[in-house]
Amino acid sequence: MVVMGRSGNASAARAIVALGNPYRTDDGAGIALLRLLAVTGDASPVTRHGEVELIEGVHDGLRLAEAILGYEEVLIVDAAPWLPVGEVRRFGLEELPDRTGYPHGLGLRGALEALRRMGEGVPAVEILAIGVPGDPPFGEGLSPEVERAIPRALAEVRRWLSGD
Amino acid sequence: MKRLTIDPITRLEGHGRILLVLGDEGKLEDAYLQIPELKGFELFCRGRRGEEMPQITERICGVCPEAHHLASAKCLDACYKAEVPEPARIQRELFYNVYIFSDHLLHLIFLGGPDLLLGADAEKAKRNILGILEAYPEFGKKVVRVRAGAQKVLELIGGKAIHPVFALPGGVAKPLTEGDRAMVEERARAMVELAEDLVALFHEKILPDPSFQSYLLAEELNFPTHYMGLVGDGLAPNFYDGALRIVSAEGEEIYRGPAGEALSLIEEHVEPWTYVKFPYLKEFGWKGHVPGPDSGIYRVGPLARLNVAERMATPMAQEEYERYLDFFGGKPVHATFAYHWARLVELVQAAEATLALAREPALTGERVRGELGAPGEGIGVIEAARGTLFHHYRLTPEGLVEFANMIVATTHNAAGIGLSVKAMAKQLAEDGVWDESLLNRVEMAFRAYDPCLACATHFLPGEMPLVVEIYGRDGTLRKRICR
Repeated sequence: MVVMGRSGNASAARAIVALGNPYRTDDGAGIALLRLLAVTGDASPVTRHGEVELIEGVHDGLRLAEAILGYEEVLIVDAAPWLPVGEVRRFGLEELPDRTGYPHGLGLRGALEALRRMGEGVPAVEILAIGVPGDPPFGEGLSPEVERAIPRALAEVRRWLSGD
Repeated sequence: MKRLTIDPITRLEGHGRILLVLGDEGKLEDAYLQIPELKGFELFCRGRRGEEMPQITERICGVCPEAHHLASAKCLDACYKAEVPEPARIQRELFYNVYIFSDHLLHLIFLGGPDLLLGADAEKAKRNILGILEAYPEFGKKVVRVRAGAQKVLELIGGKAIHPVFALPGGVAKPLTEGDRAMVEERARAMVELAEDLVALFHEKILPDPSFQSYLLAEELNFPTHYMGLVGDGLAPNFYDGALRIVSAEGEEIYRGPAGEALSLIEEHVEPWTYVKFPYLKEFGWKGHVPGPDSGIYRVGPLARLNVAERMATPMAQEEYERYLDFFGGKPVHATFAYHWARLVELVQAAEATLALAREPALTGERVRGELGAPGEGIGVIEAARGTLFHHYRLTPEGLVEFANMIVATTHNAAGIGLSVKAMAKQLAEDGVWDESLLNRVEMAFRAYDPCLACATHFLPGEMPLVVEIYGRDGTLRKRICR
């Protein structure tokens, strides 16, 4: 079952969460990938991958952590200005830096740890990062360099869906 | 295990920077706060269909999409000269009070909370949600549970968990059912109960703390400015709608009237060192980054809303408001750290208002969309959690956006935040200590405003980086502290 934009209800065991702003060009690379997944059928129950929910538009650490409660496995897809443009990289949550002190957000790792200590079921989280240029301008669509990375990112999502 | 290094300053749109300039003897001479600006967003909106704006503008910010969504919808109501039917008005207002409650709760407990509940000197590793949960395990759990219930109400009415889609020009997308009402009412009761607990906690643990009182009463952090905010019936704060009221640094009413018309009272000052424009009251003019009754600088947000109000809209909030005024000896209250207490008073009102709105018979009325007139120009004003938010659009006869402008709360407060940061840094400069503890104390001053630096960006680690740079008079960088 593909559910765009829902969160937190965990009607499937797995979820793919895309972060980013679709109105800031390459910043929305994760959203673009998610929307592609919605039409390729990869996230459909009729494929071999089984049910997976597609969630977009969650931002800071605590909200993000709350939104993924109840799933067993979650893949977070995001644009990454700290990677070379066009590079696609998948890594575990433990490699994600976690910081505190941000006026509005809590680090995702810290927020998940807090929820775990409160007895909540916390999923196994992996990150799929897509390298984008820094400070992307407002606008729709991706730059050619980032657009070329999307098939590789899609392949990586398929590996995650297959359990690789 | 390998760790990735993500330099926070690589995302230029989303970081705050504080510049401290030292004089010859190493004493603080000046302090500036640089915050991100929405470069190019208004231009991006031109040519879009007007009714897309509530969905587009809410993407400006991952922190307060609800505020942009409804400010935009209200702006479109004005552009289309639409009357919003009562059931739709109640839905919107209820939704909005839940957002204010939820946002203030997050700040009071988990974001500003470590400053208040653990103290400024708590070790860095504990100044976070985990530290709060360790010190207040049962209370922390209750906060998370009630907040999750509030988020469910936002999802139910908003149509989506994070980026709501329900508000349309002239109303909302669909009526609520009696089943929906029962769910909202149940969660609203939990919100009111938690608000009571929070008030008790504040008076038992936070207010008596000498460290908090020293900040609350610090002379340098207690500077006069003018104030702006929306007021409703009886001049009580109204987050969703009402007349805009501006009071002077001495508490005199300067303006009370249609919110949109207040834009003509404001001008913006430009500085060469930041993209951010500093709004000020035209009547007083720009006198520089100085406080006082003759300066044009004004502030918005919880402190301002309680200064422009004459009472609160609900009983428990009124009681807390009276305690607040007793403590400060009346209003206007100018203390930077009073923002936290004012936020608590507002949280109580938001919880009580949510429950009252959930019980409004008209909430489940069927008529949720009013007639639209011909498209034109309009201004929508709302009180975001952190202050007054203006959306101003002009639509073509075809309904396309020809002009769009937004003034967000943190822009209104930019000059005031700078003054607080400078005052705090000056206090610390006396000690001559420029290290990590400086960063936290300076942060405390600007965190009191709950400023939103996240506009137009997102940040996966969930942190808004803050950089403090200390310069000598000759312009050389002496030290850089970065979190």
